[in-house]
Amino acid sequence: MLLNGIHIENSYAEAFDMKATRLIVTADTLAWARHAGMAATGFATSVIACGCEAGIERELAPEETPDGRPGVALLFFATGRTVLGKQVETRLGQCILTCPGTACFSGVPRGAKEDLIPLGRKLRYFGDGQQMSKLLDGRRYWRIPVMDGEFLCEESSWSVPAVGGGNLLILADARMAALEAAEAAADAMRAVPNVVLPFPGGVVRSGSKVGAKYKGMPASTNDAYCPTLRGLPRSRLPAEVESVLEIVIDGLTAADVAAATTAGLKCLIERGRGSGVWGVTAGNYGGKLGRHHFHLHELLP
Amino acid sequence: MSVLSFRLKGPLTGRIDASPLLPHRLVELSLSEIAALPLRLGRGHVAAGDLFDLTGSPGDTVELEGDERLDFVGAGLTGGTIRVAGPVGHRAGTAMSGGTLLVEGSAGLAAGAAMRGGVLSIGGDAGNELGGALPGERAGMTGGLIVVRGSCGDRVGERMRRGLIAVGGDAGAYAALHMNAGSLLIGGRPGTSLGHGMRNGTILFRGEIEPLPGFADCGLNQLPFLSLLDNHLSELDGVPLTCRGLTGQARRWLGDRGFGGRGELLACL
Repeated sequence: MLLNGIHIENSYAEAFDMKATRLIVTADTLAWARHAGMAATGFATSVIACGCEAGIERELAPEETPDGRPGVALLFFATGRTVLGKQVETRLGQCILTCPGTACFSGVPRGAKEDLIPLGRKLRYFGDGQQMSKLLDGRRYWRIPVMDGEFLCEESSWSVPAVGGGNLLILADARMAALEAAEAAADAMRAVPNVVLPFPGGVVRSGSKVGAKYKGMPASTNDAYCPTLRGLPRSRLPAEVESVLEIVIDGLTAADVAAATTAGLKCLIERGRGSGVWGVTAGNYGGKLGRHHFHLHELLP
Repeated sequence: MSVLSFRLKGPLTGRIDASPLLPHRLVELSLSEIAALPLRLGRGHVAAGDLFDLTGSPGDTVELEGDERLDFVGAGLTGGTIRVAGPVGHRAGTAMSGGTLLVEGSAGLAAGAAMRGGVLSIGGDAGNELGGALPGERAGMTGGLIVVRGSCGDRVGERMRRGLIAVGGDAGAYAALHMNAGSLLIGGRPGTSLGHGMRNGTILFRGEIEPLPGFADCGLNQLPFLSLLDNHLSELDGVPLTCRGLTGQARRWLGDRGFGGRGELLACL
């Protein structure tokens, strides 16, 4: 299919069921909330080796946060509740507790006991007996003395079902054209609520396929989309494509991932063939690994 | 929503135990059965219909004409609403676990004692032992919200373990005596011996005080939890303005260290 000069391949992104939670981190200024958010969601690009995928969902105005200070909403995704809880616990303790002036709250509705993600519930022991708790409106908050005052932290958050691994592959004439297109598309997709793009700047250049010729490598380079290998029979790239970039999408529901995909497609199609983008496709594993399939032709704007 | 109203026929001749007049109990009865309901009056009993004119129909709301001799109003309330036009006697809302008790006038002794949940709102003043403990009990209030527009007497929040008490006016002596946890907000001036024997919990007030020797002065602090509390108070009905507007700045004392306690007194700015 050719839209505004851009080839939209009849392909689909294959995404997986995940568990997610949202944290709201506030601080004295937005800049410090951002510092905490960046640190807590750092090294969280892919569950393959990071344990979780995470990102800053959006920035929050003071009137949107529980304590009336500026903040950020963070989304964390992992393969299951236990590993998600472990990741959130260590990131909260090392990146949010440590950041000057922060407070941390759950950003999801109260859930069932088996979905619990401990926040202050475990971190309170850092207070060494000097911690205090307050129960307001059925929610417990911990106050932990720290060197700049007090760290205020809700007792727990909850995991919610989520979808991870939605993606778009941008095929462009040149490296800079691919980069500029990916930047623009990522900006458009970030505006969609309930999603994060977990890779640096939202963009991946080392898309992977399952398996490798080497033992012990669960994933290896997606050689079908590597332009330096485009002469090989298994290459999926036409001669004019010189660079490919991928945007990976994690969202709370399939509809959120679909909305982000549509936002990305809309941006790329509006920019047109003149922007140096040859076409758009999506990555999948033959449809057998993930339950969610996002067909590009069904998600056109 | 149906409302059942009780209007006093004349002045009361003695103290009445009004604890049977709970919405969830009355809703199961007909008007004639309610009129025949025996209420304790002094050492004997009197039928509700002899004391009150009944109008409306039983539902989730009961309206009472208040009197200082009406004791135990809303005691053991589990749900629904009781509205009292005027004052109530002693032990209003004792051991209530849910629902709302709205008293437009003042309350006598031990209002909201041993409360476990729900909301008790008092438009006037409250007597001694507001939100206190029942005699011999280790824990006082273990949940719920008490809001008093006026002042309260001595020993408010005695042995409190959870919940929130907000008093718009002054508090008497020994406020939060032996408090275990929970929050007590005093909009006016706290009395003497504030927080004596407290082990945990928070007492918030404004202005200068001279705390008991068992409290360690921790100086001025910026506490983000205060903004959260202020937000919470803004969502509740009828919280006196003197209890609002917490800036987050407070002078903090820790104690009562004579009892191994680490509760806090917060003089809020």
